[in-house]
Amino acid sequence: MECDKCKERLSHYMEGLLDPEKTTLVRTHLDSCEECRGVYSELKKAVEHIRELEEVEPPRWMTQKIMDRVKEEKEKKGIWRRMFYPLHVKLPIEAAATLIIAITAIYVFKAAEHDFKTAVLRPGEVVEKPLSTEDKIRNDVAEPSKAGKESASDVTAGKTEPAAGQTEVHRASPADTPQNIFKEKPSIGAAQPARSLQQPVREKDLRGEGGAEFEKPESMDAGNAKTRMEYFVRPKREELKHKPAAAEPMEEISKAAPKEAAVPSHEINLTLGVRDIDNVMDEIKKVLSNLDGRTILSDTDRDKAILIIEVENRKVVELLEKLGSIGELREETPSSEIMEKTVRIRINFKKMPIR
Amino acid sequence: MDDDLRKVSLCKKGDLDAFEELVIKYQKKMLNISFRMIGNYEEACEVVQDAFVSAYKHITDFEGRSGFSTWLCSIVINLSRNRLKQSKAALGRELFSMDDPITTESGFISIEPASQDPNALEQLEKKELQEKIQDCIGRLDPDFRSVLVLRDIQGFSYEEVSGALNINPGTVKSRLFRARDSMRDCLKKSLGRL
Repeated sequence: MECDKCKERLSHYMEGLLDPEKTTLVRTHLDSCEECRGVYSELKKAVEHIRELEEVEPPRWMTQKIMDRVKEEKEKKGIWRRMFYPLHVKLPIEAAATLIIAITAIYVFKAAEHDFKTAVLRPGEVVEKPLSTEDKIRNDVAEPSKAGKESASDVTAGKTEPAAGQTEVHRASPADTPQNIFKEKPSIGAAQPARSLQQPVREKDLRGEGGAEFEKPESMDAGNAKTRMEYFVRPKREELKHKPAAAEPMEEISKAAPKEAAVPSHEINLTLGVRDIDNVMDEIKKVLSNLDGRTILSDTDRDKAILIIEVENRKVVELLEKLGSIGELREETPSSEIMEKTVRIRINFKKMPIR
Repeated sequence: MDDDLRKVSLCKKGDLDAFEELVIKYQKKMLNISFRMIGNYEEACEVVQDAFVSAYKHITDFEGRSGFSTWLCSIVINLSRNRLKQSKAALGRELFSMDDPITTESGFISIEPASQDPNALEQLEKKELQEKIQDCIGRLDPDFRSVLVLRDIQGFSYEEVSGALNINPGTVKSRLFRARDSMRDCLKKSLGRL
């Protein structure tokens, strides 16, 4: 056996950890090798010295200090646990609460989404206004018409029947009094989005001071209509109520309308289907200026636009002919015979798809 | 059930008295391990305190696969090694002479009167020997030092050393051989003879 190999095994040999064969080999080598014997002797003494090292005693305060720190730690743990204890109970509660909040949020969102598209009508707020003399005369002319038998109370109860070519008014639910919800469906085309209705309060305003021209005789209906070119109509009460809320500028028009109260006028409600609203709007304004008419309001909003104009009664036919040549014209209101010198025409533009 | 395991079980239920009993039982052993690892009494005391607090904080992690003392020992060894790293990084190895004068807080030089005890010389020699042995231990790499401390000073079995240091028994044996051989070499140089 070589000395290096022997020295490597001396540590294990000393502790008796070598197997018998290796033990014999080491012992034989040590007997014959003085150097390895000397190393073995030194190794044994070194280990003896190490094992004889005296133990140090812990300071007397050590146990107390350790326990103080442990108690502090326990208190911290207690506070931590109080904050989140019992977690196995809190977690399910928190999860359930989160779920309820989420469901409520979705429900509210859906409900609100519905409200965006509808308007609230408070029957009690509909004000019956005495008819003016002129209106009474018109009523007499219109009587007795089928549609004219619609009473204001019917309207407030949500029993309105859509006149031919007019807007349909639906009652959302009979149970939701005092907030009967109506949804307006224009009869022009199914693709046209539903429009919100105006609140009666606003309507009251618009029918108020000097707004007599908007106050309609109940009987001015489609039954008396002759042709689009000859007869015109003013809006019925429910139509005023059910004006599209989406058309915000209309509110402004309504507010502006009383200023024109000195000049009695009819209002014709038209829908004009066009491909390029801006160009058509300019074109109509030119035509209007040729006919000595004037623009009351012009408002454009993406795919929709509203133009309110006033022309003399005798020029209405010509204007409508020209409008018919510009786009797809549709009369939205029942006609009646024209009485006033000037006529107000409201044109709702509808963008037609480009083919 | 092992007595230690029973106390550990009580500790897990929040019984501080049971933990105190474990502290009393093992603090001296842990202090000696840490002291031989670090070579500084005060720092060893701090390490032992930290080790017991750490053991209490993580007592629920102790599954009883090894003995409590083995588990506690591994904490002490790890904290001692961390302390060694911090000390080396902060100060390096601070050398001082035993013959340096000692300055007291009041500014006077404290002179130790000569002992009349006939065994004083023997005690001094013994103390000097202990310091030299500790110095040699301190020169070992921490990996070898920890094996030597646990096996030759604390008398752990190879299996216990293996468990405490999380190394296999073969590594324990080879490290122990190298540690002892280094100690033999160091002490021979330090003492002049063995």
